Amino acid sequence: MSDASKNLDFAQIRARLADKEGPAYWRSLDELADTTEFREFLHKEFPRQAAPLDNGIDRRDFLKLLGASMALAGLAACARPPLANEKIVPYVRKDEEITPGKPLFYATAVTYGGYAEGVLAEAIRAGPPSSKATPTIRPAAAPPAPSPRLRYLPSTTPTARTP
Amino acid sequence: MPQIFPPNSNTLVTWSIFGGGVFVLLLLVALPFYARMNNNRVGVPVEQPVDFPHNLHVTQVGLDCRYCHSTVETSNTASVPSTETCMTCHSQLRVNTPQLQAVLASWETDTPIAWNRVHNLPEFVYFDHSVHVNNGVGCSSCHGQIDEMAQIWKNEPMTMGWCLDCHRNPETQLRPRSEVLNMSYTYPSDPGAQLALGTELVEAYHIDTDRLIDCSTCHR
Repeated sequence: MSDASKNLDFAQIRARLADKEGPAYWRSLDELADTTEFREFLHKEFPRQAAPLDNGIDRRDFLKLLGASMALAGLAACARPPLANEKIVPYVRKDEEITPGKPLFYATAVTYGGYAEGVLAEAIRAGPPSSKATPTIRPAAAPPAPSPRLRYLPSTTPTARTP
Repeated sequence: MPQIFPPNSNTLVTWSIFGGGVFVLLLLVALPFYARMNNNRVGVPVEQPVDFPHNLHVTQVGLDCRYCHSTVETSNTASVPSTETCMTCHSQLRVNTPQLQAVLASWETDTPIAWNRVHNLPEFVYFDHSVHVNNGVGCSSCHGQIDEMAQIWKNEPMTMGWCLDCHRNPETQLRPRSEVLNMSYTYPSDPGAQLALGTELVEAYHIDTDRLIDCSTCHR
């Protein structure tokens, strides 16, 4: 594994194991020997694995963190009631065809492959063809404009559903 | 290992045992009070940027609810009227009153009036006004006597339990469609009569009572 493996002192390892009780686990003889060379090598090669060996989180810290996380998890339930000063902002001048809460459908056409394709455009929470907001209509191949959202329903005869 | 606690910490332990007991007792006393606090703001009038008296417009002028809340029968939202709706009358009427200046300013500068929300359901709840209004749930069943309120308040807690009270037993709350907008509608005084009427209406309006309490009915 490393050069450190070459100078393993088995007598020292045995001596160390002699005064151990209960289960003790190691992943390699190097780890068991725990020489300074091995530590250096470990820091260089596997910094992440080295950290828990140096100052591993002990049982008490673990339980502390566990307890704190469980206690603080309750904070998620703390919130102001959803009243929090939300505003309702209606139109100043409402377009006649718009029903708030309903999408607006209208028939239009896009050129696709050089031909005009009849489509049913659906405008959700956005201005329909009006003096103020005119939705940009792009060919079906391009990503639809973000606002208003358009859904292309190809049809041979353009049909308009009135909202 | 050195001693962490000095000898006088024994007293601290004793006191903290008593203190803990007192804390738990206080908590037990405080909890019912907290539970009764009106966090839901039921019955608390909400200030609005325009001092709009519903009582005057409904009772004295006799406006239909749908004159302003025009989409209540067709959409999920009842909708707050546009400034233009106010201006139908108020381009002529009471133009010089101080209450109306904010409306006029909105109209002239083309900036909307930002009303304060009174009812705010969480985002995970789907609520549709039209389906309730078209199936015999009266305006006043949820909103109370709007025709008597100068400032609007939330009349019901609008909690899930409150919704379910009616969704479990719709026949106890339904009224004929023709009476939905009636602010002074009175239920039959005899509960048996209401039950009979409600059951009849549930059938007539094809209300699927099993699906009313499905999770996905409101949480879509």
